[in-house]
Amino acid sequence: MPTAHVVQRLFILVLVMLFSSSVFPALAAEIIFLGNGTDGGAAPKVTPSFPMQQRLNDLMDFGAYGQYGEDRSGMITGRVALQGDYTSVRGNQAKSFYRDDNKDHLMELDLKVYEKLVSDYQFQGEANLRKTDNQRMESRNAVVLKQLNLAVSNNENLFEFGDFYTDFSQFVMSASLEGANAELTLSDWLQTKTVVARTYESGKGLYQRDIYGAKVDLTPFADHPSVSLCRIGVQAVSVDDDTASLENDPGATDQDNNVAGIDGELRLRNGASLVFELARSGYIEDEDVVDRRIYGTALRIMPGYRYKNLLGVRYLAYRVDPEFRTLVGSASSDKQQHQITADWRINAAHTLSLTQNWYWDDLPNSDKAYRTRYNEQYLSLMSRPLEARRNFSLRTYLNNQAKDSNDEANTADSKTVTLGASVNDKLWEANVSAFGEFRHFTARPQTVDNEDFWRYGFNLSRDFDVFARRLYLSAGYTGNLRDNYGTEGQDMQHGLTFNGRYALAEPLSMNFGYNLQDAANTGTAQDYQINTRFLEFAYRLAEQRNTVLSLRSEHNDYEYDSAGNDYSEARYSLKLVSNF
Amino acid sequence: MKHPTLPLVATLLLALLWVAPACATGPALHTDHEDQARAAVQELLNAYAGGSRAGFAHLVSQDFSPQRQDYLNRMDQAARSEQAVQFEFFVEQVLIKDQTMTVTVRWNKKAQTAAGQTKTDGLTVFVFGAENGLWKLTQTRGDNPF
Repeated sequence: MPTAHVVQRLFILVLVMLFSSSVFPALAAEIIFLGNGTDGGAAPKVTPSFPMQQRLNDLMDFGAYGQYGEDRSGMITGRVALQGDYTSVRGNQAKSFYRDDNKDHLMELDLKVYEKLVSDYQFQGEANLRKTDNQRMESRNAVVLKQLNLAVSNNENLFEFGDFYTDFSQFVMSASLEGANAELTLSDWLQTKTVVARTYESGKGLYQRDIYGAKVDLTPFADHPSVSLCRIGVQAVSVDDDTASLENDPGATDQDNNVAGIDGELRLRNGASLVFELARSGYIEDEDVVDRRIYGTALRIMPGYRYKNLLGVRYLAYRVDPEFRTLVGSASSDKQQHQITADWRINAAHTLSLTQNWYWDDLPNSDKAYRTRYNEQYLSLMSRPLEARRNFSLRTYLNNQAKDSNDEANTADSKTVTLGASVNDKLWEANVSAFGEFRHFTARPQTVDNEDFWRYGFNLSRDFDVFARRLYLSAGYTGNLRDNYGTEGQDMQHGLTFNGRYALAEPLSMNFGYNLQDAANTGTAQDYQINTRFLEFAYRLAEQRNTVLSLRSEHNDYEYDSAGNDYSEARYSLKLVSNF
Repeated sequence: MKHPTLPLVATLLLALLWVAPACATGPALHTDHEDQARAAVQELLNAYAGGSRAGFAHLVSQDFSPQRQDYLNRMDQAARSEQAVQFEFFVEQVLIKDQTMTVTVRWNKKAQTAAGQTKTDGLTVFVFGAENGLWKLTQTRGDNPF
């Protein structure tokens, strides 16, 4: 192992140990406080002492569902779902998601446990179990633990185990992980995050990927009269594939990635703001093959200004080296971007949005053969022009997207202009909407793809009172017309949709729908017609726990103008869902 | 097709007995995470199937990472070559923390293309951020369904 590598690891481990040992306050996760939480910075209440007998009674008291007062020490709650499906497929079965004459079952249990602890701390546990023989859903016909999360927290601190999401910064880490996470507030201006976890288990040509990371956030000037937010964060993460987790798999690569960075956010009360991040990464693509670590830098700066509710302007400068790699963060390597966005509320009736965006690749040390440059403008005007009809709104937009390259053949050059409008209104108690869009695409020298494209459609929906019960109906149409210069032909697609819902009786409701997709394309054997329809009855067995038994039937017919491709599907399902 | 085994039937009965005492007061507590997640993903997939860049862009946050316009351009390019898109998806995991919801989804996709009907599948992590009461897409990981 190279010395530099060891030093980086040790640095991160020291950070991890340092912050893990601090038993102090953090940005707590979403936690349910059993009538004991605090809002708006009020002093936390201390949990009273509960006798063990009461704790057990409160936990197991399913009859007190929904009673979450301060005098309750804890509870078990959750949701259970049971479902049985039958599918039948006729014709070309290979094209269907389903199998013919197939029966599947599904059982899901979402279990949550809450318990008040000492001081103002609370324990929260969540587990999600699934059992199904649906091969598209699970490869194993066994009870599978899909999710487990155990957390001890109060308003300031969080200690978390199992599955969790953590967000250090865009370039360094924002990912779902499995392991341990501690988020602590050491003082009013100092917060830390520490993560020891993995992204996934080994298997299918992948080594287990281990993650060690730490973050410190400073939030000074909390009470400054001109500053509404000031935060500076320093973070580092080490990502290493565990070669011992998988045996004899030549397809697995042993990747190694360290990323460290600084980010910050400054928001002034006069409307000015600044967001920035600078990160540096070291990366080895496969430690079994090469020992050379490549280093890259990523930078993003976003100043902005908002004047009351009238004007908002934001500029983004973004540059990521081709060598920059982040396995648990998010970055677009080998890219430089400059973007200006403005929202201008012209008056009470009109708001104009403008975006100018430039970005390109092939930065120094890139392995690309040539540079591709993008120059895009987006303009949108939102209007509510009629004082007497506030439901009437009109949105018009114009997009211009140009792409060009510096290769000799100009192979990437193209231009797209899009013009569109949509209108919404309420007429005779019905919601009405319509839209139209025209797009003109040209490329050179490959003009074979040049085309004009129209999209248009409308939608109507309305509630009716039928036999003193609510009937909701909606209908919509969408048309696409593509005029290709190369083939000199037109592709046409039509879509028709009807949906409805009727409350048959107090606990019984009915949903139904129909959809038609029809295409007449110029290509050989590319015409098709797809008819889908469904009918569903839902019976609410219990209101409070949302216990619903539903029966659904679904029929889909796929017809093509080429022989041997037609197929049809029928699917019936019975489902019971309930909270507890 | 296997017939239901005795343990399976017993489990079903136990589960039914468990949910039977359904009588109490108060709203469901945090049992709607999966419904929220399913609705957010469904809306996104429907918007793609609808083929409208504007409709899809409405669901993607201005803070989408790494690059919003680049992501929309790729989505737009993919949507041009696909018609009558249909998705089937299963929610694998939902993690909600502060203003962020992470949804891991296993999906199957059917589409009509110049090569006829195609079928693809994948596993994707969608990260949503809460903006003005709506879940907007801020990041994706894994396979790209678009």
